[in-house]
Amino acid sequence: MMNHPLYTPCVEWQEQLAATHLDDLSPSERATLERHIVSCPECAAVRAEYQAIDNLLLAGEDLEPLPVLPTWRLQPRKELACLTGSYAPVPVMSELPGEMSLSALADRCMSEINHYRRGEASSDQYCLEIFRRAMQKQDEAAWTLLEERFQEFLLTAFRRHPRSEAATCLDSPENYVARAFARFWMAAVHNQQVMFTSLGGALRYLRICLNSTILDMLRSYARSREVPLPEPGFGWEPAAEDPDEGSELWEVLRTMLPGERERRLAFLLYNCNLKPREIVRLLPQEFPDVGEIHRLRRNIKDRLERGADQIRWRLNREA
Amino acid sequence: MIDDLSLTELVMRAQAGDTQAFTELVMRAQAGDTQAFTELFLIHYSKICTYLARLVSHHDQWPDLAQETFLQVWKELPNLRHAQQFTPWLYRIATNEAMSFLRKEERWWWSSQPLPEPTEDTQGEYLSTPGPEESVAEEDWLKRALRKLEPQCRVCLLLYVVGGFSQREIAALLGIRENTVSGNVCRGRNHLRYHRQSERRDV
Repeated sequence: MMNHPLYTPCVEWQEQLAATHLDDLSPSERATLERHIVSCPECAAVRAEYQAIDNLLLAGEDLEPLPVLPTWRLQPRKELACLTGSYAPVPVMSELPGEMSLSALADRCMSEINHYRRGEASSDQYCLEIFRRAMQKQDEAAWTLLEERFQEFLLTAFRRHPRSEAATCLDSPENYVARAFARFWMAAVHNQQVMFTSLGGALRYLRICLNSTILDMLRSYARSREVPLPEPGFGWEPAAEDPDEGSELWEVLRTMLPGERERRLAFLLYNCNLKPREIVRLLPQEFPDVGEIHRLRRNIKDRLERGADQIRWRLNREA
Repeated sequence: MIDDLSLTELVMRAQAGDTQAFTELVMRAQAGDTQAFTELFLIHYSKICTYLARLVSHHDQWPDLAQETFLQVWKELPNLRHAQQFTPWLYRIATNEAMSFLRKEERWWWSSQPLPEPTEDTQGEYLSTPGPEESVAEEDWLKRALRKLEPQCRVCLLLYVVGGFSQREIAALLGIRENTVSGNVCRGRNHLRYHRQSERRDV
């Protein structure tokens, strides 16, 4: 448990404390500020809070950004068009993608990707048809083709990922990409409603799969060093050296949850900080279905919210 | 000579902090090289997306705004007089895009209610155990707190924290005084701090 008092910084240091950019304070001003911080715990705490909030603001970088620049919308500028003679021609769809053979589709898809890379007008319908056959028709050959065509895209995305260096220490980029495809496949199999209307959307989804694969790996590695996974049938009581207030709280929460399964899940979610997907991965025998975990978690939260007053009262009484 | 370098070499140097290489990349994009522009996009898009996502935090339209920003940049790039000023200029366009979106939506809103003053009971222990839900909850209060922050203050704070600009650079970028930026950054930080505290107290 943590205390969260509201610290008040010294008035005369407020603006300097907020100025974290190196160019905003001269070296002597910064040195004076550092000396003050050493002697003033309130200002030190405020600066730590600023840092924590900055990290939250920057954590938005995990938001899935735009997958590609819409180069087809970059119209050649007039003077450039004069030099090159004409605008890029708009391709005529001479053959319906749905009617084409897979090999013809593969060739056409490649040529459209090349058009796209050169910034020329291109159609994404051929690539989307490969996605459709792989996902909706579950065509094995189409799936292989999809992997071949977009593996390089995911490898590039992996290299550009801000945490790629840390992730490479744990596994090879190819394995991350393979797992991202597996995730994508699972999503497609379990949800036949998923269909993309643009290649951008499909690639964005692929990147989301890759990002979550990377983050899951990093999280599970970081967590495995912090919290050992309890064996099935593990007693509710935390280890003897755990802080007392933690065990009190857990004891109260335990009595608020009626089912053994709910108690076990609450323990894994909130004490071990595992995500639902990680629970399925690590304990497939106990929790094979992520949907069930989400449902149980909603129940747990509702139950605890309804009993919040009782929890507070019981903790106060026991204190 | 830097103008003889291949695009790949140029990008590598630009990413390593070589300002000359970066300027050359901008100049190539200015001359109509879409590949060079794509590289500029790749260098900046992650930060711009974060910036816009935070700026219009209560809406989901930030991907569209980011896309429009880069299309606008491409259109206006020949008019940029100093290629080395590309990054602040890009943020200025992103800011304008976001502000005009929010104005159109007529949803600039911030609370006139002062945040409650912290009281003694905030010194106590908290029932919540940090868990997966905490990050979702943090994201939630952050969105609400950003929404309550007045527009100029929000822009200054985000340019400072997410954009990584100094207060002087922000003042030049927005055409306001450096003191105003400094005050806005400080006020914005404290606003988020109080809001976070208030949120924790309510848990």
